[in-house]
Amino acid sequence: MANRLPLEGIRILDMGQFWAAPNAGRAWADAGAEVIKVESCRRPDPLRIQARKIYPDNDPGGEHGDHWNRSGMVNERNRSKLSLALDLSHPKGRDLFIELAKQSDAVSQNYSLGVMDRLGIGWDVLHKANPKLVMVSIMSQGLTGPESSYVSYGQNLEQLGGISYTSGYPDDEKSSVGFALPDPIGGATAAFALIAALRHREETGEGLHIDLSQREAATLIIGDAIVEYSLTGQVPPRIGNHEPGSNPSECYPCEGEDEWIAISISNDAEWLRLCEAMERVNLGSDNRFATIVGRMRNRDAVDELIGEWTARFEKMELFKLLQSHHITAGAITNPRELFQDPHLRERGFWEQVEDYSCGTQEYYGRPMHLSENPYGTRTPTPKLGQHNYEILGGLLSLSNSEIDQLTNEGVIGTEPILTAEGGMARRAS
Amino acid sequence: MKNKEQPPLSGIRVLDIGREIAGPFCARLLARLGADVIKIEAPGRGDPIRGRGPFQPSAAKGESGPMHLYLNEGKRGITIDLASVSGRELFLKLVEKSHVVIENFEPRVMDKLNLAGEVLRERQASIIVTSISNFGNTGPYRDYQASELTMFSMGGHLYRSGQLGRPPIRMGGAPAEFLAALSAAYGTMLAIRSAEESGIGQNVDFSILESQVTSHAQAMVEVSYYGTEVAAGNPRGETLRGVDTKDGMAMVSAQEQQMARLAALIGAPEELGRPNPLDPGSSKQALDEYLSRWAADRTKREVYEAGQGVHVPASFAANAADLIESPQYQHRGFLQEIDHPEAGTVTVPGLPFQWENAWAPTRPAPCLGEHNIEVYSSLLDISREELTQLSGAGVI
Repeated sequence: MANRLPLEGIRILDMGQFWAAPNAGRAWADAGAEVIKVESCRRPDPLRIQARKIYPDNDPGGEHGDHWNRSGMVNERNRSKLSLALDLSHPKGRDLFIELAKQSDAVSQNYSLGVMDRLGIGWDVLHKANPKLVMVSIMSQGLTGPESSYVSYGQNLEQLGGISYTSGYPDDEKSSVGFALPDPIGGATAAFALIAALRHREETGEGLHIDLSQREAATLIIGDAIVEYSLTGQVPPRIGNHEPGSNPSECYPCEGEDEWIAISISNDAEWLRLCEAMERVNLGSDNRFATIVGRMRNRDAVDELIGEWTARFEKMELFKLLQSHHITAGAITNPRELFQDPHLRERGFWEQVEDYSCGTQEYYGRPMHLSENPYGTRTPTPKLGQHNYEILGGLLSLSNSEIDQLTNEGVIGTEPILTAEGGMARRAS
Repeated sequence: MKNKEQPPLSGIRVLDIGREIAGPFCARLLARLGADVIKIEAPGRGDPIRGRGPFQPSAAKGESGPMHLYLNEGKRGITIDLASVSGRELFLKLVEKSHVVIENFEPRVMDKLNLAGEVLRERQASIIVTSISNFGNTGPYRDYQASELTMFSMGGHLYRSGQLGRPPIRMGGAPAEFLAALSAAYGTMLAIRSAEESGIGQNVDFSILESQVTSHAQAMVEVSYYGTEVAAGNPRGETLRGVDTKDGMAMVSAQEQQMARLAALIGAPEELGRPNPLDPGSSKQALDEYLSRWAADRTKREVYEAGQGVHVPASFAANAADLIESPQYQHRGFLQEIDHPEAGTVTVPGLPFQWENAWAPTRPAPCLGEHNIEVYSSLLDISREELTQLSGAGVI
């Protein structure tokens, strides 16, 4: 039984587009589920055809001119899946989708509110077709409530969920940077929620519809601020790089242009170790700085002392030096440095994938290892419609000529059909 | 067959020996779905997170910190000195009655306590050990120390944050740890599923650094697709496109096809809503000036509602008070009240998803050792006399 992947035998129709939902789909696919990415040639995943395209060597071309299969944003987060390109606005496409739903365990989607219903494949229809089906709707603000139809991008949800208010320099509200983290947070939440729901379904025999709010998921990151406000009636202040219970806690300059290291000292013994590392043991006996309260009061002086010292070092050398003194520190790294980082390389974090239209690329792997399950990328991201025949023939027992016919009618296909406006994109996720 | 009103993880028992944020929050997610989560803390001191204030003046020491009340809601609480011989044995007896252990010590600690997954599985073959560590349990940085600030720094987001000439600035809250906890909860669910089928438990080893690296929208693709020489990344100083309102910051993220509607809304000339394809930046800038003037006379919530009224992605920087008063959150019952014996009535976020109805909170965060008698006598059949002895010896 060991080495059997945890989700083997589970089939999921993944209608996710952009980021959050496809990320969840990949988490299930890597764990052994048969995940079918369902797009249509009229409305493929927008990251295939518009918005921030990243091509190998910045060249959309490729051997076969299939630029829609060369988008890095799509190829990164749709690994291990199968692809079916099915026009859901066509009555035949809709009927085929319902037939597939009858043979599936779950459907995942992040269209705007009401789109699934308008396509005739809303929860009521799918539940009736397959009472054991689990559906997860990854919505901006959930399926219910006065703001459920509002549109947003990741940065909007960062604001609405309460993260932005707590981010940035204490003296400058506008300084918060959008990291769009509500997307990976929403994806991770969906991945978790679906497995819990599948367990529930297996125990009760009844399907269910998960109503997920990415805004609410973002609020989890600052949940203690909610609790604090409910107890004190005070909105917690913006604290910048300061960490509760630590001082100093700041980013300090390093050798080179705009290079930095973060240092966070959480107790007085650690402060003494820092003084030692700086070869300034006399500072350790300086009463102004001996306690966290003192260092807080003399924060500018402390920061200046440390900054003058750190500026003499290359950041990674300093990172290792401080760690050798058991001091909490982290270099401010950029993506290039992470890609080459010896620790991540030694752990085999990057996965080499032989892509169908992009040659060999390296993508980030999984942040966790399961000791009994070889969990990770199983196959490259499929090309648009790559498995049309396999899925419709295999699961729905259509003959090749029937599938040819569907291709001729434009119900399925392997190339995007672009409208004059250049596609769809109602909301980003 | 199970009643569908029962929560999805009823019947699963979790031993939470986590501390601070990531481990306890992972366990809390499982508690919210109905798992019986027992939080195990060191006698006397407890989880260091109990020391994080602000505190309620009337509450007992360590029982009213907001982060503790948030992370440990829904759990029972007991104490064990895992480093003592009899404490370790008590823990192993609890392992025999449990499905999952969640820990986020530094990687060498569980080995040092002789409580590694392999050791636990000699007592309970199906036990799952979820370990959340900063850098993972192998590799040159394995034993390095970290905090939220330093993990967020190492994860590759900070290099483009803040203003040039000032230090890079982190994201508020504890995103690195919370994201890790959410993903580790997924890994734990996979392992539960696997153990229920096979009877075999396993280790789920989770790295916060790697979780941070997977949270980039595009940067990690660029380095592979463009080559590390070419992928330059974003400059610092790129802040959110926020606008000031009468009472805080809002944002209107109009894309090209939405600019006409935005122009009409804010009273800008019609031509600004039709960006010049040769120079889209210039009309956007002009539109921004109209937007600033328009927003300055309005509240942040008015800007949000008016933008959304014409289907343009608009938002405002909500603070804790805004969230508690949010009509959307109130409608969905996302924030819930629960009474705590020391802190009083507390509002806590629930789960960000629901089916049919949201799960209500079951119990507040435990006081240190609150459930010692209940857990030890009902699960391990330990008499009150023995408990008194163990307590006297400092084991519990």
